[in-house]
Amino acid sequence: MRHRQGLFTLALAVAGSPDAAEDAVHEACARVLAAKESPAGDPAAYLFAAVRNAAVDGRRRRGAAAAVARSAAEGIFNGRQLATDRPEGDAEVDRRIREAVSGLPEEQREAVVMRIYGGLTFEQMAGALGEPLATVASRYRRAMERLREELRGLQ
Amino acid sequence: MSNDEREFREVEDLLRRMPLAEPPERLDRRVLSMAGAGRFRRARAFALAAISAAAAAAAGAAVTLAIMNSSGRRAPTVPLPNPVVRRSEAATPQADLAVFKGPVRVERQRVGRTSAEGMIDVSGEDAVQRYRREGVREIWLVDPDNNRRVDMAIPVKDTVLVKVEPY
Repeated sequence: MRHRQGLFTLALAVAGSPDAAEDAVHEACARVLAAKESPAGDPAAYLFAAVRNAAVDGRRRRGAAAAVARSAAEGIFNGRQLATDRPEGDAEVDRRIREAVSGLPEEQREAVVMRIYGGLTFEQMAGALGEPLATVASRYRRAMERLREELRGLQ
Repeated sequence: MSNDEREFREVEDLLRRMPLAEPPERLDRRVLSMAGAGRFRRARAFALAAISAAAAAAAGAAVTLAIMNSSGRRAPTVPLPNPVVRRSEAATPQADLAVFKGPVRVERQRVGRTSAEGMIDVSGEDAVQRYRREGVREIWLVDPDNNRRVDMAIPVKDTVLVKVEPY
């Protein structure tokens, strides 16, 4: 399934914990299933928007701040696999990537997750975030510039 | 490609190489149980695109779901090279796709391999030959309104007994 991983990763990046991310994806699907009319627009954008909204709502309900999600954003990566299946020399690379992604402002991190791990186009991202395409593309570009600086020397 | 784009590509490649935390199978079961089985409304087809096949796999089938996002053509196209078609209760004949307002479910089963597994002599009955068939059950859910498609491919195995005719 094409978007399963991307939706869950986005939920993790926003909600900050696996349980909360799972609930967000579940809640988003429940909303889609309960809809009487077919969602307008791109279905992938609609699903990502639904999951993001559910994750944000869940975070609000739990009273968690965006900073909590930021500190937990490293959780989008598979820690066990990083620890066991990767060459030893990659540990430092992995750590720097995790920290760089976690250090992004939340909206930039969401853009990176949607684009890299969700495989969305800028048009779909704009639809999911309800923002102009130029804004979303510019946000992604800023994120990439920042990551490029943080990860310089790793490529 | 500009220098920026090239450098961004390198950063993107680094990010893509990172292993991600995977959604738990419990989530698949929760969503699938919500979606129900058999009948599909439009919204369900959208939701199913977000669901993994894990629950179906647990039932003995490996299912692959994908949104097939075509280039925006209005006319629906359902790939049916061999017109062996079974329709569910909610399905609509292919000829009516242009006027149908909901998702269409089309199924076909393809036999990939048949192997003979010997004779069986049933006491008091005729002898039969047992064949094992392996194939793929393919299901398409098509929304003619926007030509989006959810595809599923389920490996199937079954056994057929064929009565042996004496010369």
